[in-house]
Order: sequence, then structure tokens, then C-alpha cells
Amino acid sequence: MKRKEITEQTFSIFRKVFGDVAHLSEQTSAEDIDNWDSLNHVILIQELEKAFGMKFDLFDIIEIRDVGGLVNYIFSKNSA
Amino acid sequence: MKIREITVGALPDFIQSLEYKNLHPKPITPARAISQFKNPHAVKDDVALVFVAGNDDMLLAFAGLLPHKITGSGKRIFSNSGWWVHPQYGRKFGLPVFLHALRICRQRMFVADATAHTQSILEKTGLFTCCPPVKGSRFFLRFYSGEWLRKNKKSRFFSYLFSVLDKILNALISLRVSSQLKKNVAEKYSINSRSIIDDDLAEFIKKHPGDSCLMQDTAKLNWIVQNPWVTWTKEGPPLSYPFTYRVESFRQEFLEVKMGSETVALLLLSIRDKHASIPFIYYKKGVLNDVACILWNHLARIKSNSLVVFHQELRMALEKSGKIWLFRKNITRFAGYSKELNPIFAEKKFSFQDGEGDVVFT
Repeated sequence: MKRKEITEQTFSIFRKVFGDVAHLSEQTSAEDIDNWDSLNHVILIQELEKAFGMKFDLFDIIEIRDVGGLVNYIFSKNSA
Repeated sequence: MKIREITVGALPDFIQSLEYKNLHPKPITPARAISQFKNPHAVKDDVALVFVAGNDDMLLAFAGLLPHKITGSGKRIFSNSGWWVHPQYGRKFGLPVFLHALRICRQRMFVADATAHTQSILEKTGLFTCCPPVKGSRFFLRFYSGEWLRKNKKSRFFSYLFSVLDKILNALISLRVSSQLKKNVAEKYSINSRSIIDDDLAEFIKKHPGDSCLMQDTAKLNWIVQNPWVTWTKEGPPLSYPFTYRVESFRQEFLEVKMGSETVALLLLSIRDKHASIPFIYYKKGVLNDVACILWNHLARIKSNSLVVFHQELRMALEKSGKIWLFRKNITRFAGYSKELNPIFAEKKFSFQDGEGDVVFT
């Protein structure tokens, strides 16, 4: 899967979980999304796992700071 | 985001530090910190507290860890002793802080008394095994609407009025209560109140541990009753802390039930603001129905307003004791443990006692 496809799919999952996020970009972080709480955080991870058919390490995920970091993480796991 | 970790050994210095002084709200009270420092099942390098604060010293999220030992092997596991997130600014930090605490304790964590919301988060992480909801009961023994109104800062007039009404109603029910006290089915038993336990009672616990997997020895139980996490003095300015730490009254005592010279049951009774709970109970087979009656008699004598019980056998015994309750309310609590602990919890019959984790301290 190409990085661009991963980015688009990640954006779509963000919209599904958090609703309409204004100015969603790779630089968007948890700070920019109002309803990012603990429950939505784990729901986001579940949705991403389902969409990309992979299991994430939650402990790796918490170090990621923005959407771009998440895309990179998925891309690296996908190409591994 | 920089996550701070405070070890058990560093707690006394932490609560004296400028960092602690400036933090608002506080991630731990001095009473909790000193109590945890004295935990006989902890080692000084155990992390007790994980938190994140903003640049302006505003506390954004914290998670507490309390070490325990399991029966048999004596291996250490940790209960989550508080998980708090600043409602306005801390929501993004809640999960990272909790997962950080989980990683620190090598994913050997249990949660004995969680809300449905917390349990749903834990379940969704995929890192926890969630126990079926635990059904409990609150048995109401006396009317206390006046007190309730006063505590909830309602009108002083109504609080006074309802207090008078409570007194009248309680006087009426005390007639029925005293008749029940006279028909004491448990006359063959004696009950001793103890402030601490000795090695004989610890041996009794060892022989009758029930379904709990956690080690309760003399040192641990005496540490618990001597180091509560709530205070009832009015001294000192109020502390900005997200959980209850100041109450009007709090006391704990061990009730040893004896038949002749033989101990047949041991209960830890907590009374907070006239509301009772039984954090721990150990008993010989076949005596629980009598113990339930003895407990009711004791609570009636000390005029306790209510009793909360999650222990399934004790709850059943109380329900069929035929004793007077004004009414009974069903309550539910949630529990779970990290999957690393499956070999300890999932592979055998177990249940948490009511005071397990940090519940007993408050």
C-alpha cells in the first residue's frame, strides 16, 4: 500500500471517530481535536487496526505525536 | 509531553518539594504518600505515581500504582490506585499516562473497583481481561435525609426539618430493631473488637483465604488500618485534590467472631461518615449466616446508617437473615486485570474482596 493511500484512509478513519475535524492534515495532533479523550483514543486505534488489518503496539502508539507520525508507523508496519 | 514518575521511596520528599507545592490540583495527598511509603509489600524503587503537568504547573493527568503480593509465590502485582484526567485540558493525556503506568509495572496491573466507563476503555485497549460486573447491595438501616441535605449544602432549614423527621422515624424503627436484637440467633458467639491483628489471626486468614489471590498478612492488614487515606480533622487549609480525602469521621476495626475460644470469622469493618463496609472477611465454612446476624446486630448498636456489600456470600447471607433493612439498593462495580495476569486470575476461581486494591483505604 502506498503512503498516500494510507494517509487518505487514516484521514477517513479520523473523521469517522472524531467527526468533522477542521483542517485535518499530517500535522494535526491530539491538541487540535476537541473530543480526543481516552475512550476515543482506543476506538481510533481499533478502527485503524481493522482498516489496515494489523495489530498495533499500544505502547508504541502513545509516543506518536501527530497524524503524520501515525501514517509513518502504519506505513513502516505495512512494508515490513 | 513529559511524564513524571515518583517512586515509593521518593514520596516523602516529593510532598515536601516545590514541585508538589506548585502543582494544582495535587496528584496525591500527604496522607496517601506517607501511607504508600510504609507499604510493607512495596519496595522503594516501585513507581507509585505517574503524572503529566503543563508548563503552568497545572496537573493534566495522573495514574497511581499500589503494590501487592499474591498468595503462594509472593510475586508482586499492582493495583491502579486512581486514574484522573483534567476534564478540560487533560483528555489527551489520560490514556498515555495510564499506559505508561501499565508499562512500568510490566503489565501486572489489576483494577478492583472501576466505573463502567473505565472498564470499557480497558476492554478496548485489548490489554485487559474484564471481569463480569460485580453486583452489590447497599442496605439502609436508618433514615439520614437531614444529614444528606446538610452535606449536599441544601437549605439549612430543610436540613434541620428533615433531621427532626429522621429522629422521629429512627426512634420508631429502633423499637423493632431492639426486639430483633433480643432475639439474637447468634448467642453462642462472642465478638471482639481489635484495632490490629496478631499472628494468630493472620494464621486464621491463611487457613480461610476465600477466593482472593492477594496476600493479606499481619504487616499488610495492620498497615492498612493504621494508615488510612482520608482525614477527619478540620485542621489545615483545604487541599486541591480530585478525589475525596477529607471526611467527617472514619474508623476501622477488626471484628473477631468466636465460638467459645475458637475464632470462626474475622471481619474488617470500615465506618465512614456512619456508612459501613466490610473490606475484608474471612470465615469458617457454615458460619456465615450467623456472622451476617452478628454484623447486623453490631451495626444496629453503633447506629450505622447503611452497609455496602459486594462479597456475594455475605450479601446473600444478609438478605436471608430476616433482619430489618429500611430498603436495599442494587449497586454494581467493575473490575479487570491486565492479560499478563491471566495465569493468576483467569485460570482459577477468584473474586476480589470488597476492599481489594486501594478501596479499603477510603
